[in-house]
Amino acid sequence: MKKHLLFQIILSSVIATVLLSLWSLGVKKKFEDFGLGEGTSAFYAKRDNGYPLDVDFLDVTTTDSMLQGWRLAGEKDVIFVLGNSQTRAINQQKPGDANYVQLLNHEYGDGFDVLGHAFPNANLQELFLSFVHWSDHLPIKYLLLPVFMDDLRESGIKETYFSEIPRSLIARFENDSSAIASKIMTIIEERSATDSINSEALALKNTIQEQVEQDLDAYLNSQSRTWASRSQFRGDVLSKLFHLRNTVFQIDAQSKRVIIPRLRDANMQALNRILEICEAKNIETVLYIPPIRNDVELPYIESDYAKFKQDLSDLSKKFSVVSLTNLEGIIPGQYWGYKLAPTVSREPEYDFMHFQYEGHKILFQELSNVLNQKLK
Amino acid sequence: MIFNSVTFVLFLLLTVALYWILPRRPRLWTLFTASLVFYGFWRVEFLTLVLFSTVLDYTISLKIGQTPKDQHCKRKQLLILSLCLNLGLLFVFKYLFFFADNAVGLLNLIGVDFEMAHFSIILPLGISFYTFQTISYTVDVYRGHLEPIKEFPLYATYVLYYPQLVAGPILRAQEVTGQLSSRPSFQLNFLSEGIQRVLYGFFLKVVLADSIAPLVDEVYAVDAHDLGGIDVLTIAFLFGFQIYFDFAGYSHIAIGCAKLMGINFPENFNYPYAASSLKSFWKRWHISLSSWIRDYLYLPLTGAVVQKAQAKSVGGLNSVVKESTNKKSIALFLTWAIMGLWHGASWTFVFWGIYHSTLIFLERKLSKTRNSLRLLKTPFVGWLITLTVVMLGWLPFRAQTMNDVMIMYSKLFNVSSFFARAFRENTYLVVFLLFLLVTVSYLCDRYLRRALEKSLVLNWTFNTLKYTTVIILVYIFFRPINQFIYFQF
Repeated sequence: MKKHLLFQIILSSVIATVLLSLWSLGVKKKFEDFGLGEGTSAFYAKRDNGYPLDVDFLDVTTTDSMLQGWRLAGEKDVIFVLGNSQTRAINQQKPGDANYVQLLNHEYGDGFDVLGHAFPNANLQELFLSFVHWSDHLPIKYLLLPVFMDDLRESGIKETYFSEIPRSLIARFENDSSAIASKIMTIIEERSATDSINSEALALKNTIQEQVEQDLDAYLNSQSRTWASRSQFRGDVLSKLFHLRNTVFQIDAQSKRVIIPRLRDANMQALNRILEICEAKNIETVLYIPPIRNDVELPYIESDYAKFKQDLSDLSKKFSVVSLTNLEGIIPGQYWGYKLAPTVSREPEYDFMHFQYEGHKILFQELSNVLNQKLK
Repeated sequence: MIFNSVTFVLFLLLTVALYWILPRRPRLWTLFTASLVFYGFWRVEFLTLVLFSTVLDYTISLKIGQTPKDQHCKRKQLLILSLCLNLGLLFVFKYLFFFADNAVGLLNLIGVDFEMAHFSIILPLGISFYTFQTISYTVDVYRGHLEPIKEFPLYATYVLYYPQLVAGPILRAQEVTGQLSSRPSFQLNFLSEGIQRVLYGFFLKVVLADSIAPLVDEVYAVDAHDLGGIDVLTIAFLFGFQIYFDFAGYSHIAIGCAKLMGINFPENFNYPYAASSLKSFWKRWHISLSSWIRDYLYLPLTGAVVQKAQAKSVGGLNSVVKESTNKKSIALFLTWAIMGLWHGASWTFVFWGIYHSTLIFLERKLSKTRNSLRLLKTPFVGWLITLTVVMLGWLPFRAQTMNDVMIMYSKLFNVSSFFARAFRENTYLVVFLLFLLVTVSYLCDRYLRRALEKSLVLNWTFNTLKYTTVIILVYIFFRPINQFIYFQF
């Protein structure tokens, strides 16, 4: 059989080439919608002059753009919104729909600027990093901060949204002696040790090969569609594996999310630090338990969820500037939507996290009520 | 130059083409020069160091060869000179900081206030590998097992030959110099087998090892106090799989590159995780190092006489020995402590060596008891125990401090928190799937291959499907994102 080996390899190479070429023709997915699931779209609140009101990345360009908009609008005091994909996403979005950040800005635009930073699966360690950054650059008077039980399972600082952490923010964390700040600083340091090079070629850092490899890669990217599509191929493969996992283990939107103590504790420490800073800076904070679809069984273990709410309640009582509001049941079932299940079958399933425009209007109204009380 | 890069693929194509085109002498010079280019792509300034080592052992070995055998003293002096210079360089670049740091720690402990100046030393790539290779050559010449190579380009190509230069397999001169000296006629199967091995190697490295690397980083970043027993096992298995894919991947690529030039390297791995005893494991894992350690360290320490053997490519396991029974235990522990240190200048590596020597010692001592217990004699139970202890042995290999290692081991005995989970579900799932993959691939290789060889249609279908999948995955995951783990050794 050894004599056939070369022919088998040649035949396999031909088949692989054809398959990769066909695959590259189908690559077109929008990055920002990737984490949301089909059926849900991202909405970015903007000013009339095009400057952003809420952003997802924390890099110099994005920061400058939002700050420039704020300056042009008269450098007003800020109501700042932190959040995850719920802030950004609108289920079954129609023309003219907007998210609650945009609605809040319309409502309070005369006296304040409503600005926000939100991205999918944001954990509280990331939001801590974000909050420190924005509170250094903006005169934040009010903070709207949802705490999602799902996100207590997340950890670390996602490279996607924090690929280029500003130097001023790093310096700020160096001076923060809290344990959680040190932990985040360690992650940032590890990241900055590798930020001078294309992350795809980390192994070549500081070698003669570094430049040669980058030139070759750039050349191949310019000459071959399949080569240029490789990162998307990788994403596709991982996404398919994710779907396969969900199908095999029958994981769906209603599967129970188990709390992992280590991750929860790190996130709660970060939340505590955010609130300490708010207290020190006298930033009135609306901490809220976010809306969740509650006309069907929750994807949480009941006792875990009860403890989560109790923990938030206990924590909020430690700070005079913090008020906790429970908004979990404010949005009726009909204003939630569906998304295609991340399984092989891709059947529609309940979306527990994201709601339709009507839901954004209700959340806007509830947050306005709380804010108005604070503004009195 | 790193294997998993476009630069290397182009470099390989060019050198293979030149190898088959050029006549003997220019061919050797070309391979020698190509190997220098390969190394220089990492750091050109360190070329002087590898060249110094090469010229040194070439010269000393010639001198040993020219010295009559009855002049034992002079021959020994030359050998000691070579060992001192080689090991001295290794010590300066790899161990100086470690020993200085420990000496300062010891001084501080006895009340002497002394602070070490801050400095850093770049570890020359592959120094542990080529140093061992040149030592084995000089020792073989000294023992009279080998005639010194007079032709410098042949010797230099043996030492610096790029597929094995930075992470092995550690070659004996008998295994390759003959092949380098006389090129065989070109055969198509050199190409097919070479490409097949390189593809397998890339698959293990870029698809598997590099994909699980971030997960390994993540689990090792967790505070050891937060772990439960099941987490410790998960970490051990996860890193065990990563290091296997990474290093076996490297070895496949090295063997495949040499095969493209018609040169046979000895195998470095043989399904190590299928071993049903530790003895068997060390005959399957990093074979060229374990056999080197046995022939040039363990056996001399036991006082055994190493006799001349036939030169053939069987992974360096070709020395016939008459093992003395004295000093075996001390030699065992000493050898393994040194083997641990060879991997890295840290107490965690020494601990790893002692861990293995203790288990091998126990395995030897308990072999009679084991044979009398029917259950322990079954290969399955032997495999399960061996796999678990080998995997747990990897914990110090990757841990930052001995304190972390001790905490992790203690968690295995903490019944109350054994099933407390510190990671998300995917981490456990990935480990389970990797375990399944390794087991199934071993069983396929052992049983399915024979069945496939009986049917042409099945063979073509299975292999075409397999190679198509491997080619596609290697193509899309191919990038120099992580170095090979063994580069740091």
